Amino acid sequence: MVNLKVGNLLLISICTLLFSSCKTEGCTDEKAINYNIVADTDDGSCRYCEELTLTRGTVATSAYDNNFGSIYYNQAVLQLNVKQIEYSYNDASCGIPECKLEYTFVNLINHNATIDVSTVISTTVGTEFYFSNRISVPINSSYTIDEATNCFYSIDGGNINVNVYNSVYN
Amino acid sequence: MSSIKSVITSVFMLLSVFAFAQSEKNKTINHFIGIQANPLLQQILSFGGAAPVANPYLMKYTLKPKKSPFELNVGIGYDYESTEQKNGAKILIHDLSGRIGIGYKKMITKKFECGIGLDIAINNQTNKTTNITSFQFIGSIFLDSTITTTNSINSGFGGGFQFNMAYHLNQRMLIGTEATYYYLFQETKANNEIINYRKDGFNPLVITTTIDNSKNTGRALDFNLPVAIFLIVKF
Repeated sequence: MVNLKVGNLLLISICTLLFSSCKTEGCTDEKAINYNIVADTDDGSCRYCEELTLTRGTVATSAYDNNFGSIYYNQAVLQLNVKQIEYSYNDASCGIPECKLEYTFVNLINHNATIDVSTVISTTVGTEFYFSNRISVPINSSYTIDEATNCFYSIDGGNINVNVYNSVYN
Repeated sequence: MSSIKSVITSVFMLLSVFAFAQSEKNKTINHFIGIQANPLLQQILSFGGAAPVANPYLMKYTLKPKKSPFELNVGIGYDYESTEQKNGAKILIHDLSGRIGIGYKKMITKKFECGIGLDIAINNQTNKTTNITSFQFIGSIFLDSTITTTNSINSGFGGGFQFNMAYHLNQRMLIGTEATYYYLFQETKANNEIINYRKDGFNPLVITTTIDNSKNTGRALDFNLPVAIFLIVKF
């Protein structure tokens, strides 16, 4: 009787120790940011890279054709909307934050337009962003182009000047 | 930790009192439970500053048929340490060792016995350390906190020889020691995680996670000298 009690006590002690000390909790997914090679039981703490998008500011204006002799001389031919977007991550180890300016040109006339255009965006702290390109915008349509930029300055509250210096309509 | 071992030893001594109650009649098997008594002896005899005993097996059990020189040996050792500071820093250590094997025992004199055994041994040690550093200046909305967590697990599997000897103090109590020579395959996994939270001015909070995982394997010859003293109860 005593043998049985002492034996049981020993067995229970050994089993309790074995089962309580061999489990290590943590993130067991190798794709996670916080993968733990030591963990053998997933505790739901895994974190993954997520891209975050933030609009930092917008500016808009109309582009007038100042070319003397153009059929749309001194008229608004394009609506220009510029959006500054920041792409970042939930954890800095996933990547470096990047910003871009998204230029969207909307055709306001009844012709397909091919225009050489330049823009200058002035921020509230005096920094300027420049853009110059030839764009083609079909009738009743729009054209969007992205340009990488830094994230130090926001265009929110800034001004935009646009210059149409060559235009072809058909 | 040595005080915990002393308490366990004392409880074991009490248990042995109940074991005395058993009758010897018709008994075909003897059971032996031994417990490492070095911490208790150190306290009783005030061996202050004595080096810790390397033998990880705090308790051992032997099952031996009365008419056979062969026996079944089991040993287990467990060490646990948990500390937590006010700033959130934590240390958690589990250390488990176990073995099972067969042995051959022979009485050299009327009260002195010697034995040899072949064991399979395992060990598993987990270690988790968390450390927190934090800087916060509300005036300029500046926050910089870093949580560093280190996890490691060291597991081993192998086997080898055991040599033991014991002296019969009386019909029920023995005092003994042992030497082991084990060849162990070891695997160590380590994880170091650093999470930094930084907020500067009105910019969004930036979280940066740095992870370092490593895995190493190796082999080791583990030789334990007969310095561990076991108080053994026979029942």
